[in-house]
Order: sequence, then structure tokens, then C-alpha cells
Amino acid sequence: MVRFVNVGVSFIGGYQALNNINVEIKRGEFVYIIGKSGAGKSTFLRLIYADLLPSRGVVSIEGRDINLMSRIEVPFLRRQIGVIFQDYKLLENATVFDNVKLGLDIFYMKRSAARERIWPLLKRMGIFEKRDDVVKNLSGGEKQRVAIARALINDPKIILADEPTGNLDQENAENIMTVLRECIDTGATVIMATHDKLLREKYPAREIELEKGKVIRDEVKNEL
Amino acid sequence: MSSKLTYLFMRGVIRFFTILRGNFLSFLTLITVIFMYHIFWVAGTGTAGFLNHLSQANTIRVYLANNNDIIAEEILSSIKVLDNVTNAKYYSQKDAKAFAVANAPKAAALESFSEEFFPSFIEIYPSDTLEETLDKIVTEAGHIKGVDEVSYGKEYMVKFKAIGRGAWVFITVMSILFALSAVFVVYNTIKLSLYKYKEEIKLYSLVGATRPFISVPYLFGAFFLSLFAYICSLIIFAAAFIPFNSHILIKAGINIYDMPNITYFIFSCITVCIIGVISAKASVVSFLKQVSSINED
Repeated sequence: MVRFVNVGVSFIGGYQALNNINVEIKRGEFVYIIGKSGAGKSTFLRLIYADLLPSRGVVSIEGRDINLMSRIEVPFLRRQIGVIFQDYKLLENATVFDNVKLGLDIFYMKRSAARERIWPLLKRMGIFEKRDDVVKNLSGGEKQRVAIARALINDPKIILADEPTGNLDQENAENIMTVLRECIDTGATVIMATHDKLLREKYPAREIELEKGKVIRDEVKNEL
Repeated sequence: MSSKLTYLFMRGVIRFFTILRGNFLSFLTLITVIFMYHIFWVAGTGTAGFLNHLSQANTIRVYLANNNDIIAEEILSSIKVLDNVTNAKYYSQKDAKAFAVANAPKAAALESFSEEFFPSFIEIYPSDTLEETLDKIVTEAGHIKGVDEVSYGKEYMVKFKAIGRGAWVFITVMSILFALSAVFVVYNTIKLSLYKYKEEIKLYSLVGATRPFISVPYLFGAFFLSLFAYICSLIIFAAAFIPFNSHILIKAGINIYDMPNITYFIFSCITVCIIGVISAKASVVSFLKQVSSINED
């Protein structure tokens, strides 16, 4: 599903964000990417949704080398990937519904047709009542659920979560974990970058630990 | 395909109104540029047309060595048989004064002048206005006995032609400058709008929007912006020019400026719209290059 072969990422100035990464993540796996700030977790995720290209090595998603993908192919790759960020990356002045609808707009879907897809998902996320609320009026936990709804609206094969619980309290963090665990049941692969040790202990899974851009540990715990 | 286009078209309409609301000053600037171009075009082409008219010789004038009517009639007969002469007419001193008075209605003082101040002449009407034909007639008429001078104002024609050509070069250069101004205005207007919706565009990229999905609404938006600016400029131009021309210029004896014909308006409107769309495309491409990364501020 996701494969890194001798992957290195260097930024301008020579800073090595990732160095010689060799990782393979199978379909349906739940994987934590852990490490201190600046270890390369976000860079690891950015490579998967082709927001960044490797300076060296090969990143392949479902057998396709992202380096060889044309600019036209990248959006079609991203449609198979749902991304969740710590800072939510929502349109603060738009409604919950409109934020989730972004993922359907790209299929030229009309509002009425989009409603049939969005409403059940919002119910599942527990934010159906907030569907017409402007995002800036929501709590952090609600915002993150909106972000997850947007990521899940197109039934992605891969879900990337970059510190999704970083801004949330324990209760909301666990709610988010419950939703992400459910995604595994639908056959999706979840790759989650996190600092949260408590969550990892409560929901054990494969852990890939990065330090200074290198994999220093790749350990499978009790898999989710 | 058509439903996709309709969807993008509707997004373009929405984008147009948001551009209009968010960048109204840019819209006014675009109207001003197009309005100025209309004025420039009318002034430029009117002047060039006037100079072109002045550089066309329709007749050749023959001045006689003396003002004897009998000799003049003989000369007239000799002229009429020359090659390329369609007709010729003799103007006695009395006719010459009447001719001058008729052609200068504002110079009332001419009436008080004695006929002696108006030399008799023969006006030749050539078969065509080619310089070569005119020169040949001038040479042949100049050899007829009793002819003092033959002229069609060649030296002035050459000057007027040169100025007329210069006017067209000036019009062309200014057209390019106005077009460039419109390009920069639309380019920057779209760029401002793109930056306003930067986060939304990044999110669309994140969820897998193609470049046409992001850019086409802006192209439609720029098209409507250009079209609407053109229509507004045209209304302002017509409202300003028609009364100014009829109440001031024509009354002042300046009758060389006309409202451009429909071909000009159609052509210039299409040009403005094409400029708008191409500028918007360049703006979107440049913007997407600058903000190619989603998860980076």
C-alpha cells in the first residue's frame, strides 16, 4: 500500500528532514509515526499525499512511484487519501456542512446529492446538529470531528492524521481514536503521527519511531 | 462534461461577484483603462482619418499666365484631351472669388475683397488619384502654352501622409500599452482574489481538486469582470462622447471625430475579454506555483 525505499528529503540549506527511510505499510494497518518535534513525522506524511517529493529514493503508493506521477495524476492520488491536521485546516467562516462538502465539490456534486452523503457521516461523527453552524463557533473537539468528516467523505483508502489529538483533551482525543479505529474496519489504512503516549498505550498498534529523520524503531505492538 | 462546465460556470459567476465585492477599485481601474482607450481610439483614428483625407488629391489646379478668358478656354480644351483627365473646369476671377467664399464660409471678409485678388484657374479632375498619374498630368499640363503653374499640393500631401502614418504607429503603440495596462489590472485583481481564497484553494488541492477545477472559475470570473468593465466603459464613453461631440466639437467646427462603428466595439470587446481570460490564467498559474505546498504557510 505505502512503501518507502531509501527515502531522503533535504530542504534548501541542506537540512535533512528524512534520511534513508525504508518502510512498508500494508492495507488495513494502523501505524503510529512517533518522535520528537522536528523528527520528520510531518514530512513523512507529506510524502504520502504528494505535498512533497523525495530528494532521494522511492515513495510508492499502491505500487505507483509518486516521483513518476504527472501533475495531473496527483489530485487523483489525493482523492484516495484523507488527511487530518492538528490545526484542523478548516474554513473558519464556512459552515460544518460546507467544510465537509469541499471533498465532494471536486466531483461537481450538487448540494442535494452531497447532503445524502454528508448527513449520515455527520450523524456518525456526532455533529449532525451542528451542520449549519459556522466552524469558528465550534469547540476544538468538534472542529476535529469536522476535519475527520471531510477526510472520510470520499471513503479514502489511506487516512493520514498529523497530530490529530494534539489540541484536544483526553475525552475528545479518545473519541477521535474511536473514529479512526472504525476506519480500520472498513479496510482503510491509518497512519497517525502523534506525541501522545497515553493514547498509544491505550490503543496499541505498530509504531515507527523517527529521530533526526531516521527510523530508529519499527515495532508491532498489539495490533488494532 | 456539460454538467461539469455548468458547475464551473456557476462557480465562476460566484467568483465574479466576490471579485467585484472584494476588489471594486481594481474593477473601476479596468473601466477607466478601457474608457481611456475608447477616447484615445476615437481621437487617434479621427485625426489619422483627417490627415489621410488631406493627403488625397482629387483635383489638380492649373494657374494661368494671364487672366484672359479666351486663352483660358483654349488651354482648357488642350487639358481635356490629356490622358487620365476625366474633366476640367475653368474658374474665371469672378468664379475663383465665389469658389473661395463658398469654401471658407467663416471668412466673411473675403466678400469685401476685389476679384482682382483671385487669380483665374483651371481645375482638373483626374481619372485616378495615384501619385504617378497626377505627376504625369502635371508634367503634360505644364508644357501647354499659357500655363503658369500646375500643382496638386504634393509637398503637403507627402507631409500629411507621413504624419498620418506616424499617427497609426502611435495608435498601435498606445493600443499595446493599454492592453498591457488591462493585463496588469486583471492579473493583479485575480491574484488578490486568489490570495483571499488561498486557504480554500489549498484545501481543495488537499482533497484532490484538479487544476482546471481551481482555475476555470477564475477564468470565468475574469471573463465576466472584463465583459462587465467593457460594458460599463462603453456606457460612460457614449454618455460622455456623444454630447461632447455634438454640442462642443461640431459646433466649434471640428467635425472629424465620430462614434466608432459596431465592428470596433465587437472587436475591442472580444479583445478585452481574451486579455482578461489570458491574464487570469497567467495569474492562477503563477499563484499555484507560489503556493504549491498544502501543509506549509
